[in-house]
Amino acid sequence: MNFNDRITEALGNQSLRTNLRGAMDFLRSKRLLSIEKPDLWEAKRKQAGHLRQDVTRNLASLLERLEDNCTRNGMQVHWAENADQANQLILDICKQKAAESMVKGKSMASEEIELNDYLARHQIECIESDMGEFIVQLAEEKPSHIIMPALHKSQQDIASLFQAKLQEPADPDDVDQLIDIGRKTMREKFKHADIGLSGVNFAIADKGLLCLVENEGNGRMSTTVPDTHIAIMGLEKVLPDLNELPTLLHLLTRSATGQRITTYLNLISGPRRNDERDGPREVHLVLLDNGRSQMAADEALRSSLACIRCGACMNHCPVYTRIGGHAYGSTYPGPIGQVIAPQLNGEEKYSELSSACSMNNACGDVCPVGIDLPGLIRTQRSRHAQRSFKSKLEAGIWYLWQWLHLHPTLYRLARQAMSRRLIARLLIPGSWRSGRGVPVSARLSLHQIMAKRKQSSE
Amino acid sequence: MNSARERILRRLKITQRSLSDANPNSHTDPLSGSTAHQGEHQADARTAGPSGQGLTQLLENLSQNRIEVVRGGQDQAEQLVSRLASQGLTRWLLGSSALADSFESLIAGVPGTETTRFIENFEVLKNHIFDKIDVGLSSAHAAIADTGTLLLRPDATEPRTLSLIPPVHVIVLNPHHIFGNLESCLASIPDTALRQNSNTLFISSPSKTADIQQKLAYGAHGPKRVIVFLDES
Repeated sequence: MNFNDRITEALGNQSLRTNLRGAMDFLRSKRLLSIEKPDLWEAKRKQAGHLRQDVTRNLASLLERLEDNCTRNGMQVHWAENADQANQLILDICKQKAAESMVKGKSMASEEIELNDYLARHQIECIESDMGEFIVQLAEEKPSHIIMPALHKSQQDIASLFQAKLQEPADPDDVDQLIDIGRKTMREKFKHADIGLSGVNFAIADKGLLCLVENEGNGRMSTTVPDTHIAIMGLEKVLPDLNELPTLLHLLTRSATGQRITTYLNLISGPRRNDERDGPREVHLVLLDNGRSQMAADEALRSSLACIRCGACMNHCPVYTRIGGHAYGSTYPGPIGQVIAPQLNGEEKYSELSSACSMNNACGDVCPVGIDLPGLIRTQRSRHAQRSFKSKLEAGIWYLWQWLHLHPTLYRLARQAMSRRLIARLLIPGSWRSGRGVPVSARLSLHQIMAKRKQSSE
Repeated sequence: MNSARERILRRLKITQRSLSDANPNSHTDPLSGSTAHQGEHQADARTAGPSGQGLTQLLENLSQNRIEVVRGGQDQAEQLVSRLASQGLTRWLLGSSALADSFESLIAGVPGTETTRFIENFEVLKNHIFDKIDVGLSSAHAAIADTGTLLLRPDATEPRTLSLIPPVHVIVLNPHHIFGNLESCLASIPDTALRQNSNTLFISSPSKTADIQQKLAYGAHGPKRVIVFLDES
């Protein structure tokens, strides 16, 4: 199925539309309520934007500094250029530990490298522990949103899923009961898992600290209970200094879920210390490149590395909010996905995503670190066009369009012709007209109206 | 994998060098942190500090975050233990701090209760902690008034899982240790403390989720209840 087919399918799925609508309204209004002082918000946005852009320009020194300090704190730091290397690295650690099972906190980087499938092929069971991810995994689907992975599912869907897959009868009206089923199932897994894997929200270079924010406690479970902890992060998640963290957290939690602070802010400095009684005995940090160093070198796309993965751009995108995350087919959906998926998941397949944009600028307005998403989507769109005008017809049409706009007399003639319904019908392809009326341009152009007005007032 | 490291860093260094050559004036040293930002943090810190107003704000935010608060001394602590016991929450997990010692004798005074001390390694106690504990006790180093948050610095005497696995978590807080905001609270933690222990933790509510149709539910994977005991003795 190509992108267009997936869009058509999503638009026709009424329950998806309803669930999406509910979730988007919820996230947007919560975000808005959490921004108490708009002036302060704008000041922090600006500050964070500068800071994150500085990071994208200085990744080499920051990552060396991070590696030094993490190693000094007792972590083992690994580097992976692509998904294959990252998967192989993680599998090697699992083999060293003779691991049979892994519990996972939420990590988009691990989605990006499709770690679950890879480890399953090597007989290692991976269990997603975030409630949303757990539900999506049970349903054998992929997350449809980077913050709320299961927002495309209704309570009823989830109750039937638990009944079918866990043999747990559940009252679909009782969310507490549903959550309790997830809690009980996962606690058994946490208790026995050999490895815990997590993502990283920010890594603090000058202290060698990993910072994780979450509400459920599954991130803490995954990073505390199993004997080995593997953290995987996109290499752009580094921050110079701990002092910068509060500003970024202020923006992240409000943008993502409209919270002033999350339940847990977890700073991890390494494995269990000599005198400590618990915590993993080994902590591994995997720094994932997967196209990011190329993006850093690309003047036009570099700024997208400032992203802190809050999801606000998708929550406010009129396209995402109607088709949902699955239609994009990429790890990251919505506006940020349109910009980075070609780099992370392959240009061939994903550069066409940039066509799904109405240029309304909402994503740029809400981005907490001020990434010019509309501009970047436009860049991707023009690159896509340059790369893939395979169709001579399409190229010809645009050529004609350009030519017409460069010749005023012809343009006027054409405009007048388009004000005749019959001619408009002939020119507009039938596939476009099915389900839409034929647009007929007005008899008089704005130019002519203004000229007339001027005449009558004289 | 060294070669992966070299190749990634080589690519990034080429970018970094070309950018700093092209624009030497705008180059800020990313490693020293930005002084402009630090200035603002200091201004924030001045509005903070332990004060009566800080306590009022803290209490308000704690209750908004669904954290229960008990205030007082020895008697109130004992009442808390009895109240929890009457709710069937009788099995306590304590660390090896002086606080744990004083609570152990206090808990022993309430009939039907039992205590486990976290004085062995986690592996030995794991099943017991997961299956046979109702309440974990730990202390907060400080609290943040602005967000209703508690700072925990787990260590050998108060392990990390004390505040994670038991369904009820009791946190003892000294009311003099209140900061205005996260900035000032973070700045108060010495560098050595961040490295010395494997974990530094901020807790702002019982564990929760809204992953099922945006409906907020408490008790996701961590504690279902968090109780702050404000030690005013």
